[in-house]
Amino acid sequence: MTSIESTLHWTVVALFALGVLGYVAAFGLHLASTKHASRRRAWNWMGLVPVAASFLAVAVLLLARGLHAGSIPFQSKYETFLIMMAGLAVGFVAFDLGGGLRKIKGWPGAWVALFGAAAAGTGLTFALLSKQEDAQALLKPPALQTYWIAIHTPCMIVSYGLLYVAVATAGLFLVLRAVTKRDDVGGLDWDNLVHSAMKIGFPFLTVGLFLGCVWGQEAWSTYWGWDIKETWAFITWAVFLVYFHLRRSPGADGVKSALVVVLGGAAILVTWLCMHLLPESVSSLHVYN
Amino acid sequence: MTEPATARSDAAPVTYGRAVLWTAVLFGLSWWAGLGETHGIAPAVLGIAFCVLIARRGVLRSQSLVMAGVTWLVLGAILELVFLDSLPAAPLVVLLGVLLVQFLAQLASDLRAFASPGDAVPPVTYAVTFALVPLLAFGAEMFRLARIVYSESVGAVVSMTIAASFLLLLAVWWDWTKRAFSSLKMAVTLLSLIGLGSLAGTIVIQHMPEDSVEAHHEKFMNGEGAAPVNARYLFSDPPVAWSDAEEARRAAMNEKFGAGEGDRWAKLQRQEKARKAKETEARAWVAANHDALQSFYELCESARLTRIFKTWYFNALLVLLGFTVVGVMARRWPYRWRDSGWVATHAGIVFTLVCLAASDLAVRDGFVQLAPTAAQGATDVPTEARSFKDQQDGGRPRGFGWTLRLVRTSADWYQELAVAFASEGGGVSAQQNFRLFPGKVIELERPSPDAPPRYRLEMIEVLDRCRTSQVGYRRGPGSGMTALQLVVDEKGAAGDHWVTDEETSPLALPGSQLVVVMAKSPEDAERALTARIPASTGSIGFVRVTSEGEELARIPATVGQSGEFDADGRRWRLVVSETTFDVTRSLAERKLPEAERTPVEKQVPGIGGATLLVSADGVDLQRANAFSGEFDEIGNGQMANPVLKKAGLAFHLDLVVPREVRVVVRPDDTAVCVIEERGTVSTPRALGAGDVLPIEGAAIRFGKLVRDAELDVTVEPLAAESDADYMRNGLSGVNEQPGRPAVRLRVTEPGAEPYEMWVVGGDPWTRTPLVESRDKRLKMVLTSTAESMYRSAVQAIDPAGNVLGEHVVRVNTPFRMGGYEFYQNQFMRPDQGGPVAVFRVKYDPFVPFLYAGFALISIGVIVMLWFPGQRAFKLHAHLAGLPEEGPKN
Repeated sequence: MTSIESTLHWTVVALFALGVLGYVAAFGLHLASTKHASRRRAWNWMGLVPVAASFLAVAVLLLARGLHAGSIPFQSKYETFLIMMAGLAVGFVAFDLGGGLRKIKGWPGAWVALFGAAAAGTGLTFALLSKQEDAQALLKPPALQTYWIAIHTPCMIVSYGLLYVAVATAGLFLVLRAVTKRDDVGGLDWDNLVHSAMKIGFPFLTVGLFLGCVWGQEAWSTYWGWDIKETWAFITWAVFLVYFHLRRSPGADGVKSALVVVLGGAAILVTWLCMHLLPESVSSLHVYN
Repeated sequence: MTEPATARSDAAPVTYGRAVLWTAVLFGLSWWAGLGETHGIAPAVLGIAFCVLIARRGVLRSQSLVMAGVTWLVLGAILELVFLDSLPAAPLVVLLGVLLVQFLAQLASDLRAFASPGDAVPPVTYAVTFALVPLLAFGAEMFRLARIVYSESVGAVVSMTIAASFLLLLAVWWDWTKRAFSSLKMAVTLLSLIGLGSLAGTIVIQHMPEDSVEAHHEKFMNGEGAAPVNARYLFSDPPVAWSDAEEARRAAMNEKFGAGEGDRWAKLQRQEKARKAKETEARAWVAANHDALQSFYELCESARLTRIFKTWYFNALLVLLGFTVVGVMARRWPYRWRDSGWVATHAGIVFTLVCLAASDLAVRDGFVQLAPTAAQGATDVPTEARSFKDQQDGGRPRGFGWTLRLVRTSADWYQELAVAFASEGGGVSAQQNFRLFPGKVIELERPSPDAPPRYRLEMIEVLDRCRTSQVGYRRGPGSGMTALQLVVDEKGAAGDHWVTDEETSPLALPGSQLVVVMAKSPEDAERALTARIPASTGSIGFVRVTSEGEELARIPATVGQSGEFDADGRRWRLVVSETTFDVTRSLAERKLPEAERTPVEKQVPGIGGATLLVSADGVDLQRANAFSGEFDEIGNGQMANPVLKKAGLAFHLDLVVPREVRVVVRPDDTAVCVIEERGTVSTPRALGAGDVLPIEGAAIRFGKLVRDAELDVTVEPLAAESDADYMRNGLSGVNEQPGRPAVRLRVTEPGAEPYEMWVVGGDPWTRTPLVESRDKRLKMVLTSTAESMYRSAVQAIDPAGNVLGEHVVRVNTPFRMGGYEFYQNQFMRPDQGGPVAVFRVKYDPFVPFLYAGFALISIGVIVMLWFPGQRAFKLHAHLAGLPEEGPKN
């Protein structure tokens, strides 16, 4: 890892930390203030700007790595952490600006700030965890000498980042509900909120999964081999499909579907990071060391 | 969750918190009960008592209790892994039992609606769908079994009966079936069960097509046995030993290669040690729990969990999913524009499932292994294939209708510059590999982190392929090294061979060896001209017999020589029956008639071997092997004669070449040559540049002598071979890619002007020269670390010998011909039985259709979730008595 990359990485950590602080501060101001909600909106930029900036910093870091190694930097576990952070940051910005948050009636800014803090905190956790990983770029074997790695991998990992916005929202809901024993904490339609976050990430997961099939077919003639990584990507997809269907089956409530989203978050972690723990990893092509 | 009234219990609901508490008590009691020797009776009684208690309170089917049971089941599974071997399984079994009772109670309650007369269609509930779907899947497996287990006619009757009874069951409740197979609950059930089945497929080690039953069994036992050990060390690795030498190396690497580099090395080293420690622990665990693992293996095999993705029951789930999606689509008719995303997604899923089934039936899959025509004779592997073994058809051969010919195959390699610091004692104190990158600067050795680096290497030019017209030595500024050029004229090995006074290994020749002595003084030179091979040396040296490290006998290694020794309370007799200078060659020639084999006097010394006949009173004649060098361990290990090993005997070969051609370079730059044969030294003969050395069967000339030598290379870059050139050169008989990789470095070392030098590499099986900095502290070599790309030129030939098509195969550009696709997935190196290319052969006409299905699903999901005005759900909210949703999702 060059010193530029190291500096950029610490910048990302600092920006996510600033995002957490900014949102927490905004949350405090929202609670303390008596102003009209729409006039308090500006406070949330204290958190949103650093989170958006952290996306840029990760992008520059990936670019620097790519230029330095002379190849597409989407292979090692460390690099997937970077893409995950980028996905999380851009997913939250999309969720805030274009997705569900702005559409909440009466715009309860305090809650938006709390989501922001949860998402930025997740990003900060990943940024710190990834410091444990080996940052040395890997040598690509012949099977990975292909442009597909530049398409399939980021599509999957970005979807993980985007979906983690939904997982953070669903987790926040479950925690708040356990504390307050109310389904409509803060007067919000949590079910819809989680769903609008899910809507951003799920198409990426779907497209990424099928692009992986096409890559497999084009590179080694197997569109689907029930390799553990493939199987777990499918399980993750199936969990989120269960979410979409369970949410609308008769008699469903937001709690069960939120639980399924959290379960999906766990499935993402297994797919992404825990492959080496599965017994079947002895015959897998996709395991990080 | 508001279920229909029939599915709810009447009593006051239990809160989740209270349910967790009750279940905790059950968990704790059954843990305690599981510790006693009650053969499972006490935990079973506890489970039954718990069920009776909650049934009496009217909360047997309470959802909170189910959730609490699942919570404790998950917690228990985690505890089980953390406290491996010490936590009884009883609590988990009891919880599972209680959950089963709760499920059956709910099912019984839900099924009551089917029995009651009336026109109302019974509701679709999770209890029923979760019971029915596995039952249908099980039916599919029974259908398959009936056809395998019984004779054809009986099998047909039994399987049809099974199928008919299921169809009848579904027909009787046709209205319910229609509703169920178009319901969201069925979709959730199927997706959950498919997910669980897939999960099982990642936990149970699967049969690979290339695995034998034994290989899979071993993989299964070791892999499953390692899992609990891996889980135990999920958050902290096992402690590992760290020696002073390793610590010194870490510190040296931090100093030489930059702060943090040594720490990184140490971290990776520790990880590797931890991995090995875990492996050892896992092996011990597997040994200790062999019986339990074996019964788990048998369970998985009998339930076909080791082939789950090929089972009928798993595929039945996918078929049912297809039916359900069709049912849902039919029920949603007529469609509106705002349904387009939803329709595309679901039609895509059905289409993809149909294509998957079709692809599974049509696919042909196998491997062909070919040697290139451009390197004909290098291996026994054929250069052409007319057919392959179809793995989808039990390995039966299937012809292409034409011939596939491999013209040429090769691999490119990643090159790295290995830089090592020479330590005082002559070894290496720290070493690091660097990727090649033009303009890259490597700064080395800082006495303190803030100090400027003492060495600086800049990669000025990196060449993938170049022609090195002369890899030799020239006079440099005071390196102190002496180099001697030997010009080899032999066919196939023509070129320069350089010998330096720092690399003194002899040059092996047929039946003898060439030793070059660069004498430092006239006395050294005189000494080198006197005899030094013992007169008693056998044809390949001496056979040595030891017992517990103590030498018992040393016998000349010549056929027919014998000796005696005492060991294990007996008198033993040993006769040398065969000798060879080159075990590999002798093995390869074993099939030839004796007269055609190379006699030992003509063999080039490598790994030597002697076959010995050993006997003693009361012991039958035994055969033993003695090997030299690195094979010694194998000869006395896995290849040892068990009888002799039991008697404590070990056999070694001290390889001594009895004939030696010695070139002695005197300090005054004159050179002489002597031949020694077992202590008899010929008269010294003066050598001058161009003189042929007196070696039989080899044409080697004495070249120039260079004092203060440094590596001299002229490098001429080669353009990359285009695919067309690759094919053309292959057809004219060239297999190896011409040229070698090289990097030009600008070296800055302490107290000297910067200078430039080339470091030249090569394929991993060729010798690449070690280069030193002028101050001799840095040693550098270009190494091949991994394959970066394969390339193979192939042709399709019709029976008349015409070329139907040709192509250069790389990853992502397979050769396509007659519906077949050839993907290269392996390259065997020339030093490992190659050059050979291994191709995966695939025939699957449905791939384009599958891609269309994937595209349809992807586009559908995007449209459904991202386009305004699209709706994902319509029918079911209405059916459940909820107001129909508008266009919002």
